[in-house]
Amino acid sequence: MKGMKASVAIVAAASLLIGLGGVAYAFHSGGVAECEGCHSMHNPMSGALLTKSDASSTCLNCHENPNDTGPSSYHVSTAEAKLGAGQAPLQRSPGGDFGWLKKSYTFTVRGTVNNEAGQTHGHNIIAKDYNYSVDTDFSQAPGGSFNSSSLSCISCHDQHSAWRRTDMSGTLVKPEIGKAVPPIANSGSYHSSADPISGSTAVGVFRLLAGKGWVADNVTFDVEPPHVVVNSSYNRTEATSQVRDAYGKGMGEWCATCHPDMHTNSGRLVHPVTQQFNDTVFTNYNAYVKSGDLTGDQTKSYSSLAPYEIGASDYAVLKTQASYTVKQQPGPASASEAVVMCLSCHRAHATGWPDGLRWMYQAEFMTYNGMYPGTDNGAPAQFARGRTAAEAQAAYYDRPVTDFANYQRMFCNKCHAKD
Amino acid sequence: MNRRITYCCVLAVAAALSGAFLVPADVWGGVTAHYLYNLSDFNGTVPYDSPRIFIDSDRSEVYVLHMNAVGVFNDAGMEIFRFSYEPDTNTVTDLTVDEQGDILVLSYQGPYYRVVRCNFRGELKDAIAITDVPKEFSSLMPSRLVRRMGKLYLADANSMKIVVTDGNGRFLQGFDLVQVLQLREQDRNSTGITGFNVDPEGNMLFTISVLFSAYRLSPDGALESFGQPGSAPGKFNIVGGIATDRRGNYLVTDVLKGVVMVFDRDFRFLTQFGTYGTKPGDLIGPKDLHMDGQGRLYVTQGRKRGVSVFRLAYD
Repeated sequence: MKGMKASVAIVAAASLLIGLGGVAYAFHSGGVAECEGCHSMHNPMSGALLTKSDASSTCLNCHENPNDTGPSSYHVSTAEAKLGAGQAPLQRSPGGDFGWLKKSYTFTVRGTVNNEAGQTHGHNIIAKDYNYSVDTDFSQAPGGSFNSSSLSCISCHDQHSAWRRTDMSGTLVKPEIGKAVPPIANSGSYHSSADPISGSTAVGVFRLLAGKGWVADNVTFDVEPPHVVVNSSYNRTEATSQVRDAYGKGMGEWCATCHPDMHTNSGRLVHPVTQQFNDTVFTNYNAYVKSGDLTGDQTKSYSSLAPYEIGASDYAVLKTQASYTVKQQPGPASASEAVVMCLSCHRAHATGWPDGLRWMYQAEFMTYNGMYPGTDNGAPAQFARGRTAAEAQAAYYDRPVTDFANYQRMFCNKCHAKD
Repeated sequence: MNRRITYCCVLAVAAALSGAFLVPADVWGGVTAHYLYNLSDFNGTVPYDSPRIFIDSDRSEVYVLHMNAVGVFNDAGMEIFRFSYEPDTNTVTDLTVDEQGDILVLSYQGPYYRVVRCNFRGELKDAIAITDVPKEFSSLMPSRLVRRMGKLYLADANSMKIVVTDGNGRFLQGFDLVQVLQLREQDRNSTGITGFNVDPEGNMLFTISVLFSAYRLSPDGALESFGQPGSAPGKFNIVGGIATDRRGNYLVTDVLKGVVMVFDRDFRFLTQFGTYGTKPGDLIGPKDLHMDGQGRLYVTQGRKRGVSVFRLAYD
């Protein structure tokens, strides 16, 4: 006891004199870092020596914080205590806020009561301790066979991050028996991330996404993780700027692991995925500003509401694109550097709209009479769809309504320009 | 003889039955924790999910903020009143009570916060303007509001800054914890404060889960810390809220383990209680905790398990 008291005093004195210093790495800065953040060696509560009831709850211990008052770094879920009626989820990460899964809306259109369940807004991870439960609409992944009852954060993310990038051209490797690969020194997700050092260190793949060999329920990944870089300030409002996820390549094929029938390669008649813009779409994308306005040009045509892949894994290019923080950013300079992918229309986690789409698509207008339609501003119910105007704006990441036309039609028109 | 045996059997059965209805106390390190009840209404446990709570010890009332509504509970843990705020005018983030019994509310309109004073029914009386704030703290977006010894403490958990004002909102002190802790600026938003409180002596108490540490920051800026990573008793997996008891001990939740840990004023580990589970007295995701003036500890939980109340007793 005496010794303990002395050692505590020494620590305290040192802290006063020297300052505590130190670097705060999150648990996985590119790869696994802090075992005690998730595992209990001698008092586990569930399989894999986890100290929580399920994997997703373990993740949300850090990736959701009831203290949040707005977008906050690596947080991907808004605490339920802040999701009362009229309160929109707070996070603005490119993947989206899982809190939208808890926002259900009821409204009457033409005499018919519509119940829009929150679970339709994205991927229903199962996190019992955070009240996220299984999708009751889809027992399996749409266009696939992955069982919804198994969906968790680690269905898509490898929390230990086996895969890593070893150079700027996008070479990805992972450890295997009998093989040596460079250790992960830091995250590789951000435009500001340190680069791998050839022959010495690697960086983590984007968002610790799983890759070839990763087993999720009855599905085994047979593609490498996609190539993406995001701005280091990725979780922020887009009221005055846009957040650029620089998608390189591989996203469509990666999503097709669980949603194979949604991919062009399935041979089924579906919206193109992993397909280069044709000349018409390329022209439309750069010209489209808003409904009725095709006066745009390539230098400022990019919209984070309809991103695309560049079709390459050149990380120097990706990091440059991801570094943009202004509102007006360049779109594709040629059709060959624009590839449509799943995330051109969907967000990976959840959105404020059905089917995890980036925009509302179930009625004619996204905006109405120059306003975001809401139950609180007299907009017709078919456009307000049970939401307040503030909730609708939050679902568009706080974009001013003037970014759109007074009567803005579906943002599918960013590529198809039918309005 | 037979009557004596019968009497002993009856006593034994009675003892066994009484044990079935009592939650056993956890006793270690001279501190005993008895689970009492959950905050309830006439439907049973109110299914709060990680709410904010404030204890008004002077009036023996507990305020619980959840989904922009405030529940008021009496000394027996029963809800006696409730009021709510319209989210389009106010998103309420935290609340506390002043010496007159008025409720001070930290709320947001869009990205702008304000502190307002309300009566006991939650009706607006006036606003407290936060003034004379230096530029380096002007972008504060506080998530926590504490009133102690006539001062207001506004803590921005994400940017790791604390502003202290007088009771009228005039700036007195500011603390940038990134500088105090000598962290890198680029780590500011990915570090963050987890739990925050102010003890009766005006020391600011906070935890940082990614550093596996708890801290005591005195009004004159002296900083001390304790805690180390691990799953053994007394070590931190994911440290959560922090509070002090009437003996000056520090009570800290561990969100991952589902326990409350007790450390003395010299940061020596005394005991921990609770266990992850769904039985009465178990804890799931305990994020925050507060002591009242009668030795009762209120612990918030996830999975809609509401607020559990324990009585602490000391040897």
